[in-house]
Amino acid sequence: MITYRLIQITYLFLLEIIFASTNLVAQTNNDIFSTQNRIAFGNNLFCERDYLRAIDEFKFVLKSEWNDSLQFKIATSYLRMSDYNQAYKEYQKICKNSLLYEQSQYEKLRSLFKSENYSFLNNQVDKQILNSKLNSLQILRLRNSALLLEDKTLPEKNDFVSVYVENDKTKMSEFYNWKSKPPFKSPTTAAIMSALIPGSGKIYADEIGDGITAFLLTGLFTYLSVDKFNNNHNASGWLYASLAAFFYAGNVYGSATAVQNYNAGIKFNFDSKVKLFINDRNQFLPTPKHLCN
Amino acid sequence: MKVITLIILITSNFIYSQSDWERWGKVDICYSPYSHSINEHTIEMEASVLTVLKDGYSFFISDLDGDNCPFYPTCSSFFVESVSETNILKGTLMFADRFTRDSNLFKTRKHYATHISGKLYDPIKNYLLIDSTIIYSSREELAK
Repeated sequence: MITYRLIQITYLFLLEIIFASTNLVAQTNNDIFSTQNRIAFGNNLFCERDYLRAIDEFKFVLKSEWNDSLQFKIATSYLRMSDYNQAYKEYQKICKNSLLYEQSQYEKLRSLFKSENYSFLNNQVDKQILNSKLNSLQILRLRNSALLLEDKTLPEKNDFVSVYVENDKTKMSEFYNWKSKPPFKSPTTAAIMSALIPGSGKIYADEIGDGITAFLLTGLFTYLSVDKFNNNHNASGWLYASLAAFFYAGNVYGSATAVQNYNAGIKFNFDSKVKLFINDRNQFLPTPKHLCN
Repeated sequence: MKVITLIILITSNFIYSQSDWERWGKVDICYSPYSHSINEHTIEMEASVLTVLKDGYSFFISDLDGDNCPFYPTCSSFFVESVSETNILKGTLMFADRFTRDSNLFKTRKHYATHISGKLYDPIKNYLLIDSTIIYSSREELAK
């Protein structure tokens, strides 16, 4: 009976060792940190939009072997995280003989546009048109759009609009007209208006409430001052005259600044509309495909 | 009795008012030689006089009356900062304009962005008569 029990225990012990060793062997034969696993994990993170961790995985793989698609994904991760300068640097690392080179050139221009580095974008577009196989019409669309956001003179209207597709021509033509003759108001006019009729410059700058308030304050203190002088109350007369002068001068100055702020506001709104339109068209550039298959 | 009550009432204000204007803490010391032009010195003097006036206003009026200025920076800070950044004349003009906008009878303030403090954002840089310094903030986002 004891021998039988001993055999049974030994058998169970051996069985346990076999099962345990199977797991150990399985673990060592399948390295979870292998290059393939890292790439697969990195791809999964990239598609889940966990870009920071995806970059870490891809960079680890790139230490041991070069892979242009991983480099492209690293750059794209930075672009999607809005780190445009870093994205530009990473796209630059893709060599000319790579299949992704052409797309990386487009992405470089996209990064420059998104980082609002329009002057450098202009230079790059000129270079690309001269010596590359890129679709020059597409990058010209982007360049012309960037011109709308810069303080530079625009080309002739026909040259400007002709590069766009029919559906976009009307909108771009509208933007061109706005940019050629922006509906800015003149700060000098506002100051002169307020000098003649207090508050009118503010109303001209679309600040009606401020304008009426300025008119009432200046008018009230002027009236009080005149009234006091007429009644030979010179001290209070001078006090009210000073207050009237204070509000009058402040209003003339303020009208000019109000128009400047008004102009800044309409320029801001115009720039926002242009950016929205261009981003809606994916910067007129082809978008990378098969990144998340 | 009335006089005693009045004295207690007046002095209690000072007892409860803030006495430690600047708390103790780490101070970054600069050892570089301190030099500035006469113009800078004049502006600093003007600003320091105004700072005393502003602190006096804060102590005697603002602290008791409450923080009623709808703008950030407040009108008194706006005055001191505008004089520091420009000169006494331009700073006073900027303040007169700000005071008029603060007194707006119709409270039409749709063109101001909201500061993170919940007040209307109205920085000095927008009133220097220099286009490039204007900070135009979107109405939808909070200015910091």
